[in-house]
Parts: sequence; structure tokens; C-alpha cells
Amino acid sequence: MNFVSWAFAAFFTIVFAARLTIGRRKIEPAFVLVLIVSSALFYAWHIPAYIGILLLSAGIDYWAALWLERVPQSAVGRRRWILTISLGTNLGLLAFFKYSGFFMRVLADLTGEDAAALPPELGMALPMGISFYTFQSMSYTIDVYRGQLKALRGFWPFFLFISFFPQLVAGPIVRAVEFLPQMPRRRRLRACVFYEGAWLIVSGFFLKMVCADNLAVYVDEFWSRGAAEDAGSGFALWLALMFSGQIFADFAGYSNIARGTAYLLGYRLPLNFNAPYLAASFKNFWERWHMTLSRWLRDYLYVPLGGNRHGRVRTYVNLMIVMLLGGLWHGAAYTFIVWGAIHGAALAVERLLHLHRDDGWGQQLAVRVGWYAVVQSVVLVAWVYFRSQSMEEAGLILGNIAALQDWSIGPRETVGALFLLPIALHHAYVWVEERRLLGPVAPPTRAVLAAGMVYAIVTLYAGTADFIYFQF
Amino acid sequence: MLTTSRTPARGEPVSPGLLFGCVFGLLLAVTAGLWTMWPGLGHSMNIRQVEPPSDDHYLAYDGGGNIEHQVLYFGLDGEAIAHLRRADVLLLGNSRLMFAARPGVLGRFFESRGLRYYALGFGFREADRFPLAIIEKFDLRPRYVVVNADGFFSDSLSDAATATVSDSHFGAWRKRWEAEASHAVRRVLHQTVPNWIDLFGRAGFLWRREVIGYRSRSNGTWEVYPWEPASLAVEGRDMHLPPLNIRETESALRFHAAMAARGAELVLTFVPTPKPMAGGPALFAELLGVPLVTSHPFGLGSHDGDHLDHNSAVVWSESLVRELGRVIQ
Repeated sequence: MNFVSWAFAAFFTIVFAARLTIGRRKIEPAFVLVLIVSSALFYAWHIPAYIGILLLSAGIDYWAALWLERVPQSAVGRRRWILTISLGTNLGLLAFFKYSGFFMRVLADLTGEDAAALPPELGMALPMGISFYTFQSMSYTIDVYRGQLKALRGFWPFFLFISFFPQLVAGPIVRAVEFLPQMPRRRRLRACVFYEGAWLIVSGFFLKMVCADNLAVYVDEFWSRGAAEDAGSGFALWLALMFSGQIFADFAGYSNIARGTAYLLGYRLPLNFNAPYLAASFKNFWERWHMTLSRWLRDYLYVPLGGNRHGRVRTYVNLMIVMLLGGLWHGAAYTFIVWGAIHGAALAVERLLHLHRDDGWGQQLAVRVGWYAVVQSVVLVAWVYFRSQSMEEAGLILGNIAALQDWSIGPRETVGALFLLPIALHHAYVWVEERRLLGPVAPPTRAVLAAGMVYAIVTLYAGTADFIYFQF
Repeated sequence: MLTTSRTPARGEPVSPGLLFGCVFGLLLAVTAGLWTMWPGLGHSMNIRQVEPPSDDHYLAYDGGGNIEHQVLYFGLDGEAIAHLRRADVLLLGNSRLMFAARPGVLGRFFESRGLRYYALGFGFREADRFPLAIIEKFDLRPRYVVVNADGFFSDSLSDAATATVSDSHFGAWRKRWEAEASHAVRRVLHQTVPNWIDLFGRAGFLWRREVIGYRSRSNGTWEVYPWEPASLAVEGRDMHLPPLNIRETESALRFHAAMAARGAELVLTFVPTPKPMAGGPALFAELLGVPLVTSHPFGLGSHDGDHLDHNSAVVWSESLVRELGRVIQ
């Protein structure tokens, strides 16, 4: 189910009514049942049969965790086998649905066959959110394997953790240690909680329906023109900036709605975005952008690979592996792999230059400002690959920018760029707030801002496009 | 129910909920008032005034997206599919054909020959694979298939078609339900307040305002709003240009064979457009050994730089049926 749909409005109204009546303390069995059933319905609204995949993934991990607890720590071989079954199932599902077509194309490229002559796609839609819930499910089994978490006795509470609808299809990716302890905790819905949840929801819908969807109109219409020979540097750069705004507003908007709806239902979900275009280092960028994925990759991939504990070269290799897999996680395409490779290489170079820490020569203002410009430029270059349909298209757009010719942009571009303004203001406010020049927005100010945002949603929306991250 | 920790004392700041309601209500009231009284603002929002032309038409697309692919591929409208199955003549092509195919002209022509027709074209630069999938899915057996050869033979699916064929029947039904619900709610909402972008138009776009399209159940033709008068002349083209590539050639041969296997006679045509032409209709006709019925009446125009305007569409449809009369018995 898409948050931006009337079906979701009706659906959430019913679930929230249950929270206000049978779920006042949040822990009532009847309310928990409502959450489980509604989460299943939310997922089945996409393709009903795919609820089976969700149940399979959850069932295997539930069973694996219980089995892991029964096997003593000393039986390392057996425990590894159980973990392998769990991870293999999740990664197998991901590989089958997401990467089979891509690997066939790669094979065709390597063997010199005509990729167009390959059998047509399987004709199967990607199960919505599979990249998110498989990661979440795997984190549970790994935590139990590591002894950091006790396995849940009941299947349905575990299923609720995996399928909790606010975060089911596009995150935030919640760790079991964050979610499970919240389940038995009472949470009454106080006015301040309601206002906080409503604020998150309104700001999320504003980011999505006013900023992201309007930016998408321009990006979708003109992206391929950015690759034209006569596009001009100004136009190509404008397109790249428009997309960087679109993807932030789209994904941060989704995360805000997810966090807001979860909060109204009695659960806290972690922050997923924190003004990423303020990041003055690549490390900091990943502490601000899709924070829950970065954290997952760090805890379940980077650290097990050895992190920075085995010397410089190994650290760089680990960073590269993590970011390449992070790119591949987004989608089965060369452009995503290049996106990941750019970030991996950038993180490695930054570490090599000791610019990932706030000490040493990196503290000098000129260096900080200069490196900020480098970081955001590289992020922008990476977004061009992320959005482009092919490597060739990305190369042409970047070539047009690099040509440094014809910086003129017309009224159409200027009007379109106005939809970047709220994103810029948000970042500016976070910048000021982080330096304690201003405090958090007071509730009355929030109320006025929320009214303005709802008004903008009603009078400036631009159709309804799916969230970009639904395809991942 | 919602609880507060304490009762606000006198003199304390007003409740955020109340403040929100007051500000939002004020903004709406001012907007509604301005929109009603300020003569310069205009009221020409399609969503608030456009209605389906008849009970025979269903919503095909609006600002919320396209749903006709789902409706026809999954057979969501039984009446439309029944007419499609009965059609003796199918008209295939992209949106240029769908604008150009005018039901009044076509209906008279085909009725006079005792034939039923159905326009099975689609927008979004749709080509051959999607209509072929529908023809095979519903086992259609038309006598004639008239194809606008402009970019048709490319063995490709549009993004809309790709999403449709990988969707489920339930998914298609859901999408249609959501689109129609959204359409209905927006129609009510915009009786009171406008969508500013739609009211003033998005500068620099082919479609400055929201486009709403309805599709006929009985013959598949489109009625599109807004459909403004011509602002651009449509020049004639050399039908032998450009040269065909291997992909187009193979696609055309495959499509021709598929139609022949169904007992359908293929006829090619070309809808004039100011845009660059994709694929040379005359070369395709020569390659396939099928008739090419095309003409370019004087004074054709386009309202959007791509499709024919309404008057030109009627003129072109008349010229098409004149030419078709020589081929279709």
C-alpha cells in the first residue's frame, strides 16, 4: 500500500481508531492482533500472494533463532549451519527476485551474447520492500547468533517486528534490539505524542507530495535531455540538483510518515535522515543519509569483514566492498554499482587523507569548506549515476556539466528550482540548530508550519508518483 | 482516547491543534474567497469541470496517472472487452493515433460496411508488444489491423506497459479503484480551492495543465481535455525516411506473421506530427507487402507540438477512411 493513497488514508484511520479504543495502552492482545492483521493487509494490498514470501522469510528466521538458542555456543559448526540456512533463504529470495535478470545480462555481456536476445523477464513483480524486510529479519538471526538477543518464543510478535506496516516496505530498517523491547512497554497516547506524530506525518507528506513529486515532474520529463549534445552545463547541473532534491524529499518524506504513523501507534522508529546535504565529510554523509541502512551495513558487514582493525589497505578494501554491496542492494544495474563504487572510493580516499575525523589538518576552516564542496560534488556525481538509465547516459550528463559551457537557464528551470527551496530551508534550519544558534521549533510554531504545509499539499500537489525506494 | 497530562491554565499558549485548525481554516477561507471573487484568477481547472462525455466512457488517465493499460490488459471493464472481442477492425498505434482517430468519422465509415472497429492504441509512446499481448491474451480475431507505423515496430514496452504486465489482476483493480477514488475526491476538493500549478499551468511543459482522458468502451477511442485549437502547422513528410534498422525490421516481420496467423490483414498508415518521424511507413509497407494508406490533407495543425488538434483529427480521420475504402471491403 502506498502512503500517498486514499486506501492508506482509510486504512490508517481504522487502525488509529483501534489505537484510541482497544489499544489505549498499546499492549492489549486485541490491539496487537489488529497491528498484525493490518500489517499483513498493508502488504497484501500490493500483491496478495507475496504475503507468502514475507511469511517464509519470517518463518525461517523465527525457527532459526529458536534453534540457535537450543544449540550450545560450543557447537560452532552447527550454529553456523543454522545461520547459513537463515541468511541463505533471505539472500536467496533477494537474489531470485531482484538479481536473476541482472546476472543473466552480465553473463550475456561476458559471453558476448546479445542481451536483447535473452528470454524475456520472468514477468514477476519485485515483492515490495523485500530489500528492507529481509535485512531486518537477518539482523534478528545474527543478533541471536551473536548472543546479543534472546529468541522470541511466539511467532506472531516476531512477525509483527518484521511486518510492522509503517516501516515494512521502505524502512527505516529497525534492529530487533530496538523494536522488541518496545512491544511489552505501555504507551498511552498523550497529546504531545499525538502532535509529534502528526508533525512527522504532515512534514513527510509535504516533502513527498509538494517537493518530491513536483521535482519528479521536471526530472522525469527532462532527464534524458540532459544527455543531449546541446544540453549545456547549466541545464545538466540543474537536472542533477533537482534529482538530488527529489530523492531526498521522496525518501525522507517516506521515513517521516513511517516514523509518525508508528509513533501514533505506540512505537518509536529510528531517525533515517538528518539533513544529509550538510555533511562535510563522506563519513558524515552516511551518518545523515539513510542512517539505518548505513548502520546495518556497518554492524553486519563492515565490522564482520574486519572493519578498520586489520590495517589501512584492508580497511579501504572493506569500505569498497561494503559500498559496492550497498549499491547493489539498491538495484540490479551497473549504474547502482558505480554509485556504490564512487562512495566506497570516496570514503577510502577521505580516510587516507585523514579527513574523516574532526581533528588534525581537517580542522582548518579552508580545508573544511573545501572538503565540504568536494563531498557534495561527489555525492551529486554519484546521484547522476543513480538516476540514469545507463552508464552512457550518466557519462553524457556529467560530460555536459564538465564542459563548463552555457550556464544559462530559463524561467522553466527557475520555477522548477523553487521546489528545492523547502529542502534548502530545512537544511539551513538544521545547520543553525546544530550550532545551538536556535532551539527546536516550538509547538505553536510547528502548528502554524503544519497548517501551511497541509495547505501546500492541498493546493500544490503534483499527482501521485510511487516512492522511489518502493522499487528497491 | 487522546489524553493530556494536565489542563492548560488561563493565559497559557493556545493548543497546537486549535492553532493548526485556525491557520489552516483561514488559509482555505482566504483562498476560496479569492478564487471566487478575484476575476483574474480564472476557474479553468479540468478536474473541477470535465465530465465523461457519456456513460460509454471510463476514466483512462488523469494527473494521478494512467489506468487504461490495466483496464484493457486485465479486462477490468467487461463491456470494453466484449466490444474489443467483437471488433472486425483494430486500430493500433501510439497517442498520435488515439488523438487522430475520431469516432464520429470512423463510426460512420465502418458501420456503412457492416464492420465494428476498436481503437487499441495507447499513450506513453506505446509500441507493438503491449497491444500484441492483449490480442493474444483475449485471442482476438480481427479481419483488419490498421497500424500507425510511426515508431510502432520497435519490439518494446513502455514503462506503463512494463508495470502493467508485471502486475496482478488484484493490483490492477486496486490501481483503478485508487485512481477513481482520487479523481472523485479531487473533483470535490477543487470546487472550493484550486491547485495553483494546474490553475496557472506549468511553464515550459508540453502539457501545461492536468490532462484528463476518457476512453470509450464501445470503440476504444479517446476524449481528451484540454484539447486546444492548433497553434502549429504540421508539415508533410517523406514516407520513405528514415531507413529501417534490424530491430525494427524483425519486429515488423514478427508482428505481421502474428497477425497473419490470426487471419488478420495488416494495413499501415501514418498520423502526421510535427515531431521527428520514427520508422518509414512506406519502407515498412514494402518490406511486409501490405498496403499503406496515408494522406496529408492541407492545413493540418497541432495544439501541443506532437498530436493533431481536434479539427485536424477530424480532417485526417476523413482522409483515412477515404483511403481505407480502397483497401477494406
